[in-house]
Amino acid sequence: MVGRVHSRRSSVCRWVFALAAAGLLLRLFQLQCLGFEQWSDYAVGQHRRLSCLEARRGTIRDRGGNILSCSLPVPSLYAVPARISDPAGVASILGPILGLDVSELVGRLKGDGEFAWIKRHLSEEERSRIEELGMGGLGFREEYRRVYPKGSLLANVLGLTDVDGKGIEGLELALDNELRGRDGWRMTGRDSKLREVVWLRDEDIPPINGCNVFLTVDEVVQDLAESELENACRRYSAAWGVALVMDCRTGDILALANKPDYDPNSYPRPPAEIRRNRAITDPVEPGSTFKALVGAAALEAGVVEPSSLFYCENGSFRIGGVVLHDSHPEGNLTFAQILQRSSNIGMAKVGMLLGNRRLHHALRAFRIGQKLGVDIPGESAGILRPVEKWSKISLRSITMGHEISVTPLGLLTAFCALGNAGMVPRPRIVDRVETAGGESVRVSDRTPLGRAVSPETAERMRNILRLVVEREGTGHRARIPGYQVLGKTGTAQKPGPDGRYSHRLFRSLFMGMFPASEPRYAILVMLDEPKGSYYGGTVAAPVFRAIGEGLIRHFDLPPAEFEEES
Amino acid sequence: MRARTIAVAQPDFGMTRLGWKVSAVFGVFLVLGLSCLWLQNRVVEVSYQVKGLEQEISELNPRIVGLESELARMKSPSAIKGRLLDNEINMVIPFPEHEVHVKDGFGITRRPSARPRSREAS
Repeated sequence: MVGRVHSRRSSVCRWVFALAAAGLLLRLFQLQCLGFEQWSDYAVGQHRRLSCLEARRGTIRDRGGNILSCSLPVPSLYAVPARISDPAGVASILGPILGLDVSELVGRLKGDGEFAWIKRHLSEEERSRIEELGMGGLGFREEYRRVYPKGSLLANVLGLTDVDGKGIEGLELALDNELRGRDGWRMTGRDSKLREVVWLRDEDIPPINGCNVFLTVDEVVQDLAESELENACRRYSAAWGVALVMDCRTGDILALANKPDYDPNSYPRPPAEIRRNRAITDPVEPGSTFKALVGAAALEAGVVEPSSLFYCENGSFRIGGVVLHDSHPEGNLTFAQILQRSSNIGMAKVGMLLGNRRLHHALRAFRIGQKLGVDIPGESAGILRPVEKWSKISLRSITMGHEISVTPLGLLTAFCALGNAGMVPRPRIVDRVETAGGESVRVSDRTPLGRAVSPETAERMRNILRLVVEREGTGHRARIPGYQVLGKTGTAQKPGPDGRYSHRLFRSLFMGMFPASEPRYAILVMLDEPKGSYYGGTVAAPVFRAIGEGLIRHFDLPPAEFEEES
Repeated sequence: MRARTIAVAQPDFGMTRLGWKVSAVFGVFLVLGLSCLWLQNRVVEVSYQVKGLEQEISELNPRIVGLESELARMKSPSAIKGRLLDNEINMVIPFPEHEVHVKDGFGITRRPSARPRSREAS
């Protein structure tokens, strides 16, 4: 009896457990087999995340490797509006901390969105204050902000990036493809507390940081040029100024100074007029500095010799219905003296000997009216009209540096031909590009642009231009004692509001190079609308001297008597 | 008096040997499963440690970059000039006639004197 009771109970228990087990198995089959895809996708959606790994933008450095621009990691604040229950309350707290308009912030926090930027590129103080609040629905994302540790140094050349780190001006724009790099990405898994579980990583593509760009600019020379230019602009209340320093053998641009300039780290951005790189974007009439190129063309053509005599009409010469004047009346001058004293009448007569076609051909050989292909956007070619369109007075105007326009860089590059055995150097501002790991990507081309004059003509022209810096020359204020310097002054009249050349608005220029025997460094200084004095020899030549003396100290250049012995 | 033998129904362990085998197999799978869980847990713990170290490295990188930028700022010519002024070091650029150039063979020469100008480190 007892046994039968036991047997029945255990049988019932077995059946109950069997049914339960069967039910579990059935449910397992339903979840694992029939609903596999649905639940698998759900799990992936919960635990898997695709993360973007942002690449760091490359640096821009000077020729010595000193950093001119780089990218710093900074936090940016975002919100998940779907998780914010009180947008107005959150906005009223965040607005004053971040300096944002509360009503506009409320608009961003409303809705069911999963992502909304609150503020990009926070400071560490702002981040700390936000973190202390411990608010839900907010998060930080690490981004990169472009900074310029040297402040306004070379600002007009380096350019700017936008808030997303994309180049929008200057070298940052021209070299954006090389600087930008390539973002990576990672497919990873997270646990219930949203912590990443490394062993669940499926794909891990590391970011490729941007390349580093090395310029030909020397930061010390750049600072020197900018300081001296600023002093001159302030002293003469000039509207703007440009100073260029080039290695006339290699075409390396050692300094490219613009005034006014700005600090690219500061907001808001200054107007475009301040940010212009006038050395390459603004073609100007070069005035009497152009006589150096015209003179070289005349020597090359063989129509003059340094001792050829010209009568300079005692300062007033009527030609083609127009009267030419010299700043100082002169009688007979040799060709060399015409350049030394910058006689407009003498130069016009030289031009007449040369003729339209030969002059035009020679100027094209100097790359006047052509782009030079430098790695900075916005380069202007300047204006050299086809010879068929020259008027009766074009020849005499062009010999004085009018009726023609050339950028400061174009003018100095052409002038460098006289120091480079007659070969026009290729101006370079980018020396090389390297990967983040230091491997070379490219080196800028150094081949010259072409021959303008023969080496003999270049040397003869240099000997003549040394006289400009002598005591009787217009550029004697550019003389550097102990060093042989050559150069040419320029004082260009500017057109007034009525379109005619003004007697009040001038542009002062001086371009020169040294050492005269084997030139290495060429410098051009240009000041627009100086007040008080306006002659190139008075305003620009002293700036050339100051920059030249700085170069001598920086590069430890031996004086002339050492060069003669070497 | 004769002893009565009461037959007590023995539990039916007719499946005894099979039951022990099944239990053994079940036990093995249980041990394996638990081991697997334990290993997985350990791997996850190590993952957290790796993630922590990655986090430390990623936090070092901004510091390095920041220090590089600060060093670049400190080395800039304008910053150096500013510190010279702040510290009132009063360094001046030498006049040309104060410069001495020493040739090989220790001959000494000076640059021709120029008109003195007052120049201070600006």
